[in-house]
Amino acid sequence: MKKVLVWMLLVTLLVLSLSGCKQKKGNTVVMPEVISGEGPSWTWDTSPVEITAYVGMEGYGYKWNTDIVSMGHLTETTGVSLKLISGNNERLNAMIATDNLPDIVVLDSVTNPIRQQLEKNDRVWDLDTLIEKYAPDMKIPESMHTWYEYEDGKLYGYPSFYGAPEDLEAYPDWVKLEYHNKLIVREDLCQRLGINVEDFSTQDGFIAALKKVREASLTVNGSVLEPVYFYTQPHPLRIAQLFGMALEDEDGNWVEVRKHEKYKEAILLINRMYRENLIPEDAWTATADLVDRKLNNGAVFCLFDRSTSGNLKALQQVDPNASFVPVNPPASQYGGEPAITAVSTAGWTWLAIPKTTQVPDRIIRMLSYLTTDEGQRLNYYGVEGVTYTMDENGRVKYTEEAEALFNSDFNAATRKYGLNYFPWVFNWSTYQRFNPLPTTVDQLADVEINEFYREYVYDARCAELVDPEAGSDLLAQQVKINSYWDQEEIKMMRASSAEEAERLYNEAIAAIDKMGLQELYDYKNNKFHENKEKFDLDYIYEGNRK
Amino acid sequence: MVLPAILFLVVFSYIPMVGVVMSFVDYNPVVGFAQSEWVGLKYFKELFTDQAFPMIMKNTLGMNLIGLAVSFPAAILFALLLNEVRVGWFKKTVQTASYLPHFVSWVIFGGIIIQMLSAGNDGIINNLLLRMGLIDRPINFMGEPSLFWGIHIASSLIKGLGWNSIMYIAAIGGINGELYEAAEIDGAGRFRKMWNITLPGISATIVIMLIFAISGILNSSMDSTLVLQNDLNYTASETIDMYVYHVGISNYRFSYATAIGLLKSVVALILLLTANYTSKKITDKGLF
Repeated sequence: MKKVLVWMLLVTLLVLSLSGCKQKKGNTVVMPEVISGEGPSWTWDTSPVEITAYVGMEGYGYKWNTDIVSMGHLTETTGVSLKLISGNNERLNAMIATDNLPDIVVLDSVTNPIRQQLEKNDRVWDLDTLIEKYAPDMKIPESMHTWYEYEDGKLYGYPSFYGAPEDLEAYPDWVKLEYHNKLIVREDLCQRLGINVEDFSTQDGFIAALKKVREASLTVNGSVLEPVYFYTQPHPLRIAQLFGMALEDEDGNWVEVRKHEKYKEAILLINRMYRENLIPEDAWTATADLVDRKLNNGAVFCLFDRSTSGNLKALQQVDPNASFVPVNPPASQYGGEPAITAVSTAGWTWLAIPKTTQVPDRIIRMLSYLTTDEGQRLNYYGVEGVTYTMDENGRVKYTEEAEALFNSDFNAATRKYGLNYFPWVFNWSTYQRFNPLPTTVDQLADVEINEFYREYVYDARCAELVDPEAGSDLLAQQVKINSYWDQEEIKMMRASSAEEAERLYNEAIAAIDKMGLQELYDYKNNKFHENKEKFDLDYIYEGNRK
Repeated sequence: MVLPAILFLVVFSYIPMVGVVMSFVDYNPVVGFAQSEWVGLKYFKELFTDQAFPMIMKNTLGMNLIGLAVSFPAAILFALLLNEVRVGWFKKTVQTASYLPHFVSWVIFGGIIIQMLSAGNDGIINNLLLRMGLIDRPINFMGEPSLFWGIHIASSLIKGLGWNSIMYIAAIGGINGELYEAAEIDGAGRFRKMWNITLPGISATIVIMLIFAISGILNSSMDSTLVLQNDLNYTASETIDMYVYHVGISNYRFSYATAIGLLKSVVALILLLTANYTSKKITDKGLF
């Protein structure tokens, strides 16, 4: 009898757990009553409501607390309290599989394949319907809608850190394309070593300048002055861009960079630097932390890929005469001006509203508030009148109390005011439009460096977002090709002679061709053209316009 | 009384086995198993025809076999030697010191190793070699593929030696003390006792541990590799597990990752049975 009971129990368990894998169907979709009122939509109904939000961002573990200035303000303004859940994709998958989605889902990336699956399987609300019914004042940039709309022409979520071309046009003095790629050198040390900053504009002059640094073998603040570092490791792509390699060819097609003559030239230049012992060994495996330390210490003569940011301030505390200047990068033997890609502005996280929510109206109205200028500033600067006021330039000016707390204990201030607690709706143009103008020496130096290459920067999102769908076989093919190429590229850059580097390059090209590069290229080129069509662009790179 | 244990096993070990279906379908979490497309052995074929397969197989087997050959006897030797230490406080100190690295996470332990071997100004080993005049340019230890296996095996050995010897120390503690007394009366010295009493006394434990170790030969420690791997040593550090992580999981190819996991389990089962069979034939001892 006991045996029978045990077996019955086991079978029941098995059945129960298997049925758990099956999806529940037929959830009723709730569409709350449409109301309207005076003023902004988020003020129409401010009765208390708790909304569950899953935020799949690494390190995001905040709990709702109305004592925190930004959270308290959001609750006061909209009536919404968020029950925040954080976690990884596995947790989200479990919630999806058990049909137990929260009211808001924030995916860690706009390219997360779960996004497409949620859209394809009709599991999330389209924002167009919700906006039309419940929050007609919510504004979505047209370009964002075009870029992200699903096959049916509707937008099923909201990306953070999206850079709208509309903002570039509307605020040309403030909103600019950000970029990393640049070449800066220590001006004070150039003078000391008798190096002319003009020397850097040819490959021979560049190598000769770095050799002077190596031979001088200077010790600064206890460390040996190294000729060059990269942010963070040597890579031909950035140098090839300084040589003038655009991600689009003259016919408007997508460029497979590895096959580009300037990319190969960049590999050979790095190889030459390696063979001349100009690249320190730890630069090959450097982390941002290491390079920062070296910069702060004054041990870096020349740096690729980044401006000095916070480092100059630290450096000048050790060496008040230290200064960095941007220089014209070594020119390509094939000619051409630098073609620098902007930091991708296509978006970071993705917010979606599952159809299982009971309160889509309150969610969309909260979003409507958070996407206004005031709502955007709430995330980054806190509450007007409490943490900041607006100055005559229309810029944020921290209140005395906030300023004092920031200076005495930055982290405590961030926690008290709850700053950057809603990064999942934040857009970078907010920062560019409202952040206090630079005043200190290091901030101004940074502006000067950034302006130096500005004219060469272009928006390359159409060319960068061409990867095959996540989870697809073609993507796996790409990952395999890339990982093979990366391992060979290191060998090329560290080859014992230029001939050897060239031989390795030719071999690797033949190998990736064999691994199916053409099929990948065709896909990407096609996708590139589709992307350009969305924005109605013939060319993304100015230099290609005839 | 055994019922809760059985239930636990069924719920947490047997039922999840249904999940192996994932390796035969194009799994999509939103639609579930049932609606995912059946693709048969596609993912198994993909691994074997992969151009990186020889490399990852070589690294996995190479590092694990050499690691086994070094660390397995090392743990036994360590336990035997520790057993011979007669001064109580010294024995305890050594034991504690040797266990400690096990409790330090790989992120920290690996960080220390990387820092010590660094080719920059702050690498203690390179500084030492330079000052002794043995080298004239720092060696990029972490960037040299030919050194990676050695570094990985040595650091794993340092980290795991004390911990791995615990089983043997416990087994030694279980040996009947009268045997040693009898041997002493017969005039046996320390080495004789170690060879004729201690080793045979723990041979069953050794065999079991060896069988387990052999069955896990395709597994590699993700923690250590994730910390110690970099672009320069990639060709020597990429193992099956790491490759599955890179090509599979981080690209949402759950089915591919499951297929490799299943394949590894099958190989582990075969190795386990073979090792057990061989051991029973030779030493008359085995798991079952």
